[in-house]
This record gives sequence, C-alpha cells and structure tokens, in this order.
Amino acid sequence: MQQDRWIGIGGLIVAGIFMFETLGFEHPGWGDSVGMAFWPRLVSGGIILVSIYLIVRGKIDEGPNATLHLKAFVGFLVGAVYVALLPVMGFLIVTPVFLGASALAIGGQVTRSRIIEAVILAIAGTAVISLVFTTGLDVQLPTGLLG
Amino acid sequence: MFEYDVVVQAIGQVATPHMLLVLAASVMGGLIIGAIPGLTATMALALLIPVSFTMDPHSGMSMMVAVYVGGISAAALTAILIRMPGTPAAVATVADGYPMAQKGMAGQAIGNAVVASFIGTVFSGICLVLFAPYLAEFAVKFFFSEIVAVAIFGLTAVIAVSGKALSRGLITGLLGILIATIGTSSVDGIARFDFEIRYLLGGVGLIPALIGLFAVSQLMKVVSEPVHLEKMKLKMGPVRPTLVDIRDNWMNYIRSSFIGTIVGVIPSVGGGVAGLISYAQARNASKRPEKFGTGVVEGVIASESANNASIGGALIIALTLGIPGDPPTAILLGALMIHGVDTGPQLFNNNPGMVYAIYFSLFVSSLMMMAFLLMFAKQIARITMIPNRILVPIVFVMCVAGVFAANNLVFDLGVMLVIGLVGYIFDRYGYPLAPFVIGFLLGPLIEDNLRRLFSIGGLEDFVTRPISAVFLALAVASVVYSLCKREKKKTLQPEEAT
Repeated sequence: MQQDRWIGIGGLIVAGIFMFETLGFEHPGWGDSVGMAFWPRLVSGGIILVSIYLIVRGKIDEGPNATLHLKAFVGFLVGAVYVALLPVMGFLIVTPVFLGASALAIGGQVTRSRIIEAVILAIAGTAVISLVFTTGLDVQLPTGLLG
Repeated sequence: MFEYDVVVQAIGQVATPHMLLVLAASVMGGLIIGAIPGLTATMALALLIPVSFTMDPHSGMSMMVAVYVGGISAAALTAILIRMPGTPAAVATVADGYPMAQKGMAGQAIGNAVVASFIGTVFSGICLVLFAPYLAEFAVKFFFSEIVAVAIFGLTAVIAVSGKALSRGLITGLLGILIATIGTSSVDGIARFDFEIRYLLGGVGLIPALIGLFAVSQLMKVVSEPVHLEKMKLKMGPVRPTLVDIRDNWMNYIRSSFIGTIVGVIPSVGGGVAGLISYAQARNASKRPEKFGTGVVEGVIASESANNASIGGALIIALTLGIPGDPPTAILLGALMIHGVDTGPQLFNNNPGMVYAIYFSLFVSSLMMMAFLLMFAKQIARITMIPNRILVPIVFVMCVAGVFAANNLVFDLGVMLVIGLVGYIFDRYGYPLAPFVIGFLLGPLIEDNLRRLFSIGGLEDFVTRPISAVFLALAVASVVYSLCKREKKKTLQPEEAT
C-alpha cells in the first residue's frame, strides 16, 4: 500500500484549502506590510512541496505498522457515537452504556462473568469519574436529559 | 537571582499537607500509567491538563511534574519484568533488566533502577536549579529577532524526531504550524480560517489537540492491537539495591546522570536516546563489557539514571527558552500557556514562584517515587495487568470528561476525535507525532514575532544582533549536521547489508 501517497494527497488538499482561504484575507491597513496571509501561505506552500514529494515517492518504506486496523475505526466510531449522544442524553445515562458495551466488545467472548464485570465497570466507572470531576474538581459534565 | 521570599513561598505552597497528598497521588498515578504497556507519561500529562485547570497554576504544574517523574520512572518495571518498556525511555533498561529478572534477580534490578532513577532526577534537578536562572537572565534580553531565531532553532528538533524519513516529520510539523494559525490572528485581531464556525474563532484548543493526538490515537492503537503480556514473574525477591551495588556504581550514576541531563537539553532527543547513550558508555567503561546484555546491574543503572536525568535537562530548555525538549515538556509548556503563564525567559521574571514550585515538586516527587517503588513495586506490577477491555473504555471516558471540562464545549470533543483519528493514521504509517506538537507550539511564536519585526522593518536584526545570528547559525548547523548524518547512515546501510 502506498501510504505516503495518500498522506501526500491529504496534505495537498488541506494546504490547498488554507491557501485558497488566504485569497480572501484583506490587509487591515495597519501593522506590518505582509499581512496575516503571509505566514499561512508560507506554511501551506511548504506542505504542498512536501506533499508533492510524498505523492511522487508513493511509499518511502514499509514501516513497522503500515496497516490500519478495522477494529480501531470501529472503536473510533463507537467513541464518536458516545460523544454525539453525550449532550443529548447526558453523561450519567450514556457513560454506563458505553463502558459496559465497550468492555464486552473489546473482551471478545461474552460469558456470564464478563457480563457481571461489564456491569460493575459501567456503574462503578461512571460513578467514580462523575464524582471525581463534578465533586472533586468542581467541573460540569453534560447533563442532557437530566439537566 | 536567588529570591529568598519567593523560595520560602514556593516551599510553603508545595509543603502543605494537601499539596503533598496531591503530589503523592500524582506520583502514584504516574507510576501506574507509566508501567502499563501502551499508556505513556505523555498521555497521562495530556489527560491531566484539564484537571490542572481546576487548581491554581502552582499546584497544577506541581501535579504535572509529579506525574512526569512517576511516568518516566515506572517504565522500568515492565521493562524488567516482562521485557516491555512502559515508555520509550526505558528501552535500554530491557537489555540487562529482563535477563536479571529471568535469573531471579528482578527485585535487585528494580531496586537499583529505582535508586538510579532517583539519583538521575535529583542530579538533573540540581543542574536545573543552578543553571536555568542564568540562562533565563541571558534570554530575557531577547527581542523579536532573538525569539524568532530561538523558535526556529527549536523547530529544527523536528529533524531529530522525524525517524527514518525526514519528509514525514516535516509534513506533520508543518501541519502543526498550519493548524495553529486557525482562529483570530493575535497581531491583527481579525478572524481567519474559522470556516464560519464560531467555535474556531479562538483557534484549535491545545487540550483537545494534545489529548486527541496522544491519548485517543493511542487508545485506537491499543484496541486494535491487544498487547499480549507474558505471565509476569512476581516472585521478584526483596526490592532494594545492595550497598555493594551502590558503592561499585557511583561513577556510573554520575556519568549517566550527566549524559542524561545534557541529552535532555537537546530538543526532542529524549530519555530513550539518553538511556541508550549512557548504556553504551557504561559498557565502554566497565571492567566486564562482555557481560552487558546478560543481566548486569550496571546496565540497568546506566539506563535509568540517564532517562530520568533527561527530565531536568528537558525542563532547563523548556523553562528558560520556551522550547519543548520532548512531548511531555511540550505538554507542560502548553499547560503553562493555558494557565495564562508566560513561558520562556519571562517566566523567571514574572512568575519566579512557579519556577521554584516546579523545582521543589521535582525533588519531592522523585523522593516519593523512590519510596513508593521500593515499597509497592510488586503491587504496582500487578495493577499493570489490568486488561484492555477495562482500561480502554475508562481512559476514553476520562479523555472525554477532561476535554469537556476545560471549556464545557462538545465541539472540543469533536476536535479531539478528529485529531485523534489523524494521529492514529499518522502513527500507523510511520509519521511521528512529536513534530506536530512542536509546530503547534512554536508556530504562533514565530509568526507573531516575525510580523512584529516586519512592522518595525528590522529584518537585518537577524544578522546584526549577535544572539539571533548565533541561534540562526545553530539552526543551520543543526539542519546540516542532521542531514549529513542521515546521508551517512543511508550510505552505510547498504554496505552493511552486503
């Protein structure tokens, strides 16, 4: 797999977007002569050059871990759903479900003892983290439906 | 230079029962996280930034220093017991620590590693106290051109941490600089790259960026690649060094601590390299070099003294010049910025109490680290066996709670996830993450001061002012040296292969 080519294409797109945005910057009429577009253009230009190099090279070396694991992306998606539900349903409702479900999913085999472990983790984990943040550190967590 | 009142005040702040309790808990937390394969001291520090935000700056930074000390020190446990360094800093410890454990000398290896870690931290801490104020006094004379030149010199560290392919480090470093330009331009007070998202007017937050980059990406890695640990040999015997070991290695302690401190000062080289260099030097100086790698205590002492000494070394350059020596110090600097504390030489002028609080926390934490490890090494070793199915969800929820707590914004959680995803892809493809942080922190410093220099038309300052000229020359020399070294390595490799 030509991973460096993909990173190069990604870099080119990001730098292109930033470079394009700078075209809309107007000089405020004070301060220095170069304006606020100067630095981002310089950096974007650098990224474009390196990206082109990466695209041309395609694959610099195999690297020890040059594969992406589907399980990591599934984990990421589960995390993203958890984050999306937080403001809607609240920390105290979503977190136990997330903790319990994740523990079972990562653990693989679903046995009776694993289910008990997941339930304990869900309740105890949520209680401890919630207490530490809200009572111990006096910070708010999303309240959602309970708010 | 030595402000008695401030020192007393700083001691007073660190030596309260509450603060000592916080330090003890932080050291223990750092020890546990540092010992768990897959979790790093960097990750622990990133997670703690939002927590530190709920404390006064002195206490918050003291807590983070304590976690840093604990995290680096604990890596030796798993390196010795299961041949898996908890953090990269303990790579060299494996070479002799694990063979010692296999011979039934795990307790002796851990005991020596603990004492060596303590001596390394204290040695570099003394260097920090002695030399940092003078470097800061020198650096306080810096004007725009000097600040830009120093920051450019700091950016050259990207080359050192770029691994095999420089282009990979360059692109992550440049992306860090670019992402840091999002938000209101500090020189003009005008919004840029906000993409009509009001939450981006303040820029991309340092907390979600750091937690995403170092914690979320790491969790994705851990969840997809379960770490298969060997059954830990917990019959380790008494965890303490013998007096003979200490007496026979006093020169090894000093040499390795010195090497660790010096290597720590060099931006982005880090404790792992310090340990390897010291290990090699200890081997050269030993009367029995052929025994190295088979389980000799000198190897463990060399590695552990040096990797812990790199903490003080990295703090010297971070506190005086505002240059992050490695990812943990980048996070410490980031935390200082979030607390509204000036970093760099101004820190010594404007916040001497903070500097002394960091000094004392370093010493107190290293003492606590030694006591905890000598007393509880076996118990900590057991905790490290917590399975991923429990660890990963809990740490992720802590990431979420920590990032949310900083600004009460769900948007920040999205930023954390996106940066975490990008960090995971970069990491898997062999793109180093440290340059991103270096670019993210140093980019705004360069832009702001360069533009201010432009506005007064003083570009010639780069060559006419000696300090900026020296730092620019150092930056050029550093780049040339690194490139030549890379080329030499490339040409040697094919020859070695044949």
